[in-house]
Amino acid sequence: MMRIYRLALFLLPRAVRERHGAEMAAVFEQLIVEERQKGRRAAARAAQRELASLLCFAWHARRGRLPRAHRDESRLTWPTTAERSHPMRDLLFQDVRYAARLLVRTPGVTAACVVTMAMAIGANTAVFSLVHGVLLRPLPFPNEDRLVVLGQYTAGDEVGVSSTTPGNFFDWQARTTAFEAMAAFASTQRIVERGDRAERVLGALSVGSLFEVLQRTAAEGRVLTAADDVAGGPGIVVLAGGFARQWFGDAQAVGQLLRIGGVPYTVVGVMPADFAFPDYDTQYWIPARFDAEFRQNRDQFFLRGVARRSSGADLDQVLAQMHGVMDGIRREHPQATANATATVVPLRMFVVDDAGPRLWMLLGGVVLVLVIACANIANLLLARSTIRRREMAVRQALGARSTRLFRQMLTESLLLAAIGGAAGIAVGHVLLSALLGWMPTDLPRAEGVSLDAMVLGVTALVALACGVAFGTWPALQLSHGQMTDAVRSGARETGRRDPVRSVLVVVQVALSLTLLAGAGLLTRSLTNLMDVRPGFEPAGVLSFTVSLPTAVYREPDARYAFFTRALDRLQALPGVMSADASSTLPVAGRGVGAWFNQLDRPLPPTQTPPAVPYRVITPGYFTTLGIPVLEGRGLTEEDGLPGRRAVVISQAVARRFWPGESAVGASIYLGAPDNRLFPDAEIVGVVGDVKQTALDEATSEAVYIPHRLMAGWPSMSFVLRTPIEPTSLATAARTVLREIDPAVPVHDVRAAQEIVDRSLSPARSSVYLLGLFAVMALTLAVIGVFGVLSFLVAQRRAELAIRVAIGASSRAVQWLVLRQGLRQVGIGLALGLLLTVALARSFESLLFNVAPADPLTLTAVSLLFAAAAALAVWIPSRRATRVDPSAVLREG
Amino acid sequence: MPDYPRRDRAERLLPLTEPVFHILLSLSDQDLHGYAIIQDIRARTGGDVDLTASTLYAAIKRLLEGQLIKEVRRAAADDPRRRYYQITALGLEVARRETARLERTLRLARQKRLISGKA
Repeated sequence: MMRIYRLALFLLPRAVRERHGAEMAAVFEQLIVEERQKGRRAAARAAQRELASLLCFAWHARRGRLPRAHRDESRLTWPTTAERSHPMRDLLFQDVRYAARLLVRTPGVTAACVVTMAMAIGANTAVFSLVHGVLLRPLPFPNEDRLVVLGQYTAGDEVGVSSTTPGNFFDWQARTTAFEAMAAFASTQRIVERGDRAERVLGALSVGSLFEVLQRTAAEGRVLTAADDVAGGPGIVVLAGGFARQWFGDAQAVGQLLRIGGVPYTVVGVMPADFAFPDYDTQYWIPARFDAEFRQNRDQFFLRGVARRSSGADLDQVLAQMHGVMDGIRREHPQATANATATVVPLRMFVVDDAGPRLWMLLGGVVLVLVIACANIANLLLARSTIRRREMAVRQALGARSTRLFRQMLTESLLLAAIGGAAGIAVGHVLLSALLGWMPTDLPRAEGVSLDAMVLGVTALVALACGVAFGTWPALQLSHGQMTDAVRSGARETGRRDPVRSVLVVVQVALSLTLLAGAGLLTRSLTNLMDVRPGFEPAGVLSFTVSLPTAVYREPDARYAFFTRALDRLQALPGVMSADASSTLPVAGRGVGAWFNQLDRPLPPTQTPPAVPYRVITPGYFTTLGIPVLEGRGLTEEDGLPGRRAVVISQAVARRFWPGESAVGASIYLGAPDNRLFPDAEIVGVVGDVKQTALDEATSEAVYIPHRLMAGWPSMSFVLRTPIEPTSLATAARTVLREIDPAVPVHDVRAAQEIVDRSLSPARSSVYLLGLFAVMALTLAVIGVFGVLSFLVAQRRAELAIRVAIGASSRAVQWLVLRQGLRQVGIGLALGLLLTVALARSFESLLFNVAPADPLTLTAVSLLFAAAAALAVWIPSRRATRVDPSAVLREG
Repeated sequence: MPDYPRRDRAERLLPLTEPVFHILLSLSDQDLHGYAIIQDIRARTGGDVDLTASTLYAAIKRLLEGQLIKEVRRAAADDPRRRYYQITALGLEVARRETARLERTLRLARQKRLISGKA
C-alpha cells in the first residue's frame, strides 16, 4: 500500500513533491498503522480515502488551482502562484483534455473503437512477440550474423542441410580460408547417471573448437577447447545452466562426476542460462575425440559444420569457396561424394528451421486484421465527423484556424489509439501465453519468447501509426471542408455521400475474405492430412524406447539378448496381444539411412549410390503394426541366421529400383563396398509404405532388416498391440524392463496414435490461429458494413421519408438501401478473391494437396461471407422501410 | 506578494475554510508536525473534522506561501521526515479575526433563535 502511495506522489508537481512528498508519505504511513489496529478493512478504507484525496490534490495543483474543498484558501496567497507556465504544453494539455471530454461524451463510439483496437493490437502484439522471439531476435552469440552451418546436399536425397562425414569436414576445415574458425557438432542421446538417477538426455559432440567459433565462455569453470578434442583424454563435459541446476541443485557442479553412456565424465564447466546450441534441448557438450582412422571416414553422415565467416567474406564468397573445395574432394573420393554439393546456411535459419513460413503467415494474418480494424474505426470516426461538421464550421467561423482544428481532431484519434494500444498490450499479454500453449511443442526458440521492450516499442509505434491512419482522413475532411455550407445547412444533415467510406467497406470486405479464404485453405489442408493413411494401424498400440548404455552392453550378443528377453517378458504381460520392436518408429523421424546397392546392377566406382532409410525390426513387427505384406513374405525368426540373410523392402523402394518388375529374389547390400552393414541379403518380401517423417512426405522408402542380422543395434523402440487402452500398459512395461536391468531407462512412452497426432500439430495450430483471426476479421467487416449502412439510412431519413410520402413502396425503399450495401460487398468479395489467389502462392508450402486457388474453398468462404454480409445489409434496409414520413418531415 | 499592512492582509484572507482554521487553532499554543496536527484536530473535534494527508499538506502549502505559519527545527532524535510548524504573528492575527467573525455570525444566529444561548 505504501508503495502505491509513493508512486501516486509522482502525480504531484515536482516542486510540491520535493517540498512535502516525504512528509506526506510519513503521515500516510502513520495513519494506516493507526487504522490497522481497527482492522484490515478500516485500513483499506483509509488508504482509499487518502489516495482519492491525493489524486484530487495532484490534479488541482497541476492546474494551478486548489480543489473545491480548499478553494477558499487561494485567498491566502493571492495572486495564485501557478505551478506551470509552458504555453505549448498548455495547448497540448488543452487539446488532450478536450479530446478526452469528447471521448467520454460519446461512450458508444469510444468503446467500439477501443475494443476493436485492443483486439487487433493485442493479436498483433502476441504474434509479433512470437515472430520477434523466434525469427528476429539475435542468437546469443557475438556477431551471430556471421555464423553459418555447413552441410552437404546429395542429389536425390532429401532437400535441406544434411549432415556430412568426418572426412569431408576435416577437408573443409583444412582447405577453406573464408572462415575465422570452423568446428563441427553432432547431436547424441545418451544415458546420464548420477547416484541412482538415470535419464536419457540429449547432448552434443563437439568436434574441434566449437565454443571458440560461437565465442561464448562458461558461467562457471571453462568451455571445451580444440585441445580437449584429442583421442584418449579423460572424460570431460560442459553442462547447460538449467541442466546443472537440475542435477546438482545449488551445489557447485564443476568438478563433479557424471556417468554418460556408462562412462565417467568430469564436469569442467557450466554454460550461462541463455546459451543454447544447437537448440534449447541440448543439455551437455562432450569432445567427440575421433581416432585417426575415423577422421578419414566418408560414409558416416552425422556431422554438421559450424563456422564463423571472416568479416570480409560474404555468404556468396563463402559458398563459392566451399564449392571449390568440394570439387577437389569429389575428384579425390568419387564414389563417396559424386553427387554431393556443400551447403552453407546462416545459423539462425538453421535453428529456426521451417517455423518461418508459418509464423510469417500468422503475422500477415494479424496485420490484415489490424488494417481491417483501422478501416472500421476510420469509418466510425467519419460517421461521427459528419455529425460534427457544424461544430467545426462554427469554430472556424469564430476564427479557429484549420491547422488548429486538424490538430485537435488528430489529437482525438491519437488519444483513442493510445488507449486502444494500452488495452491491446494487456490483451496481447494474455493472448501470448495462450499462443505459447497452442503452438506445437517443437517450435524452436519458444523458450525465449516474451513481451519485451522491443515488442512494446513496436506496439506503441503501430498504435501511433493506427491513430494517424484512421484519424487523418476524418480530420482533414472536417478541418478543410466547405464549412459555410455546413453552417447554412443548419442542424439537418445533407445526404452527401462520402466515397471514402464505401472504399473503406470494400477494403474491409476484400481483406477479411482473404483471411477467411486462407483459413479455409489451411483447414482443407489439415483435413487432407488427417485423411492420409500412415500405412499402419496406430490405434491400440503402445510404444516406448529403450537405449542400452553401449559401454556396459559392449557385445552385440549382450544387446540382442537384452532385447529378446525384454520382448519375451512383455509378450507375456496380460493384455498384450503381441510385442515387437524397431530401431525407429513410424512418423517419428527419418532415422538412419545407408547407401543402397543392387548386386545385379552394380554402379561404377565414380558414382555415389542413393541413400535409403533402413529399420532394424523384430520378425512380428509387420503384424503388430498392421503393415500389409504386398508381395513375397514378411520376416521370420529364422531370417538373419547364418545362410538365411533376408530383408524386406517397402513398396516405394521396389518401385524406384525395380520399376515394372518384381524385386523379390533380388539381392542387395547396404553401405559402402568396403564398409557394409551386413553382407548381401535377399529381398524376400515387399510391404506397404509407412510414413516415416511426416504425414505429408512424398515417398516412404524403407529397407527392413531382421534384428538378428544387425544384433548389435543399441536402441530399440517397442510396440505393444493391445485391445485395451494402450497407455494403461505403461507401468507394467516399465516394471518388466526395470526387473531386467534397473540402470536402463525407458523413455518416450506414448500411444502410437499420439505420435501421429503430434505430427499434425503444426498444421492444426496454424488452422486454429488463422481461423481465429479470420473470425475476428469477418466480425469486424460485418460490423463495418452494418455500421456504414445504418448510418447511411439515418442520414438519408429525410430523402427516404419523401420517397415514402410520394408513394414509394416499402419494398422499393428497402431495395434502394440493399442495393447500395450489396454493391459494396460484391466489389469487396471480387477484390478479395483476386487478392487471395495472388497471396496464396506465397504460403503454398504450408498447403497439402490443396491448390492455392482451390475453387471449392473459395466458393465456400465467399458464400459464408455473403451470408454474413447479407444479414448486415438486411437489418439497416429493414429499418429504412420503417421511416415514418410525417414524423421525419415535421422535424424539418 | 503585495505588501499590505498586516491588519488589512489578515482581513483579506477571511473567511477561512474549516481545515485551515483548525490547523491554525492547533498551532496557536504549540509547534506540531503534520501527523500531530491531524491527531490534535481529530481529538479536539471528536472526529468531526478528520483531515487526509493531502488536505493537510494542500493547506500547509498555502499557509506557508501566505506566511501564516513557518517551519521550525526540532530535536534531532525525531523521525527525519517530520517537519514542525509554528504559527506566525500574521497567522495568529488571522485566527483571532476568524474567531471574532465566527462569533459575530453566531450572535446573529442566536438573535434569530436558530440556537439557544445568550445573544
